[in-house]
Amino acid sequence: MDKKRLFRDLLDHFQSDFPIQENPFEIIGRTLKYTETEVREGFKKLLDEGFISRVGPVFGTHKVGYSFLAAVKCDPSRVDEVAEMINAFEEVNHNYLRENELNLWFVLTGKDAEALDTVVEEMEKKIGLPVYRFPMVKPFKIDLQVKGAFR
Amino acid sequence: MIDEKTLVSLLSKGISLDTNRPFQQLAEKINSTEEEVMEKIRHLLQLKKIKRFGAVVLNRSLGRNQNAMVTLKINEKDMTETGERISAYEYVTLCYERKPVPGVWDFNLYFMVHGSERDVVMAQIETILKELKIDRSQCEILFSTKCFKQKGASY
Repeated sequence: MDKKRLFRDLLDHFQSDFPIQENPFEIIGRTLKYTETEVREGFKKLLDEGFISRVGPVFGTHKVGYSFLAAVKCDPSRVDEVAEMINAFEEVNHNYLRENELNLWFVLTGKDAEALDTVVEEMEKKIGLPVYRFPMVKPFKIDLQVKGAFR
Repeated sequence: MIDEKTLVSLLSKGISLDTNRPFQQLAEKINSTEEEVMEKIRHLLQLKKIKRFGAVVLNRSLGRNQNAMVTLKINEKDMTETGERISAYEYVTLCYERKPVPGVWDFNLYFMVHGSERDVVMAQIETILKELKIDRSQCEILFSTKCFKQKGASY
């Protein structure tokens, strides 16, 4: 079996619309002409090889819980250390170094605004730097499905 | 009755890929039934609390390791039109209005472009700025140089 083709088929068709049924892998297999086991193992390999983070839901912003973008101005010599301290908070789900004086940009996600206020306070104490918050006012486009993966 | 928070918290880690009956397995963990769990997920999809359900791709793994966040200063009256026009570009993956932090970061409209080559991503951004007549002084382009963390949200 061609692993690359399987990967491509799964990602082309099932970044959304995963069947919420008793036997989802069998249903996908019927559509894509694979066996139930091939499909399940295929997703598992995508996960193990680091191509996907999970098979599951992507939640609507602010529909479940609360989140915002945040940033820190960090001296370049301290970046790795500070990033590690920030990542230690389980509420942090993306953290990128970017080319700017304001150089560490991350997303905080939690139950509600108050819970995240507490997290930010703790974080500021820990890293010794102010954490700036950029909550969303209005979404215009949210499209993180990847088209044409494995071409 | 299923507790939504418990289900959401379990689901946010993804379903099990070790069984052919992942929703059954989930149900067992929360003392519920497979049918009830599936009903609840379908309901959350309907309410758009779940935007989509499927494989969540890690960008960097597919060679899309260039990502630029572009932040713009836009007048409130032009916000909707600008946001909608930027969103119409196929290669723009995200576009949000965000609250600025006055004096620190005065930009209020953000968009993202992902790609495998920096030159291509830069050219795409420049096209947008040119076509929308946005002055470079009203804009900051931040390429990412390192990813410290990319995971699903945990609630």
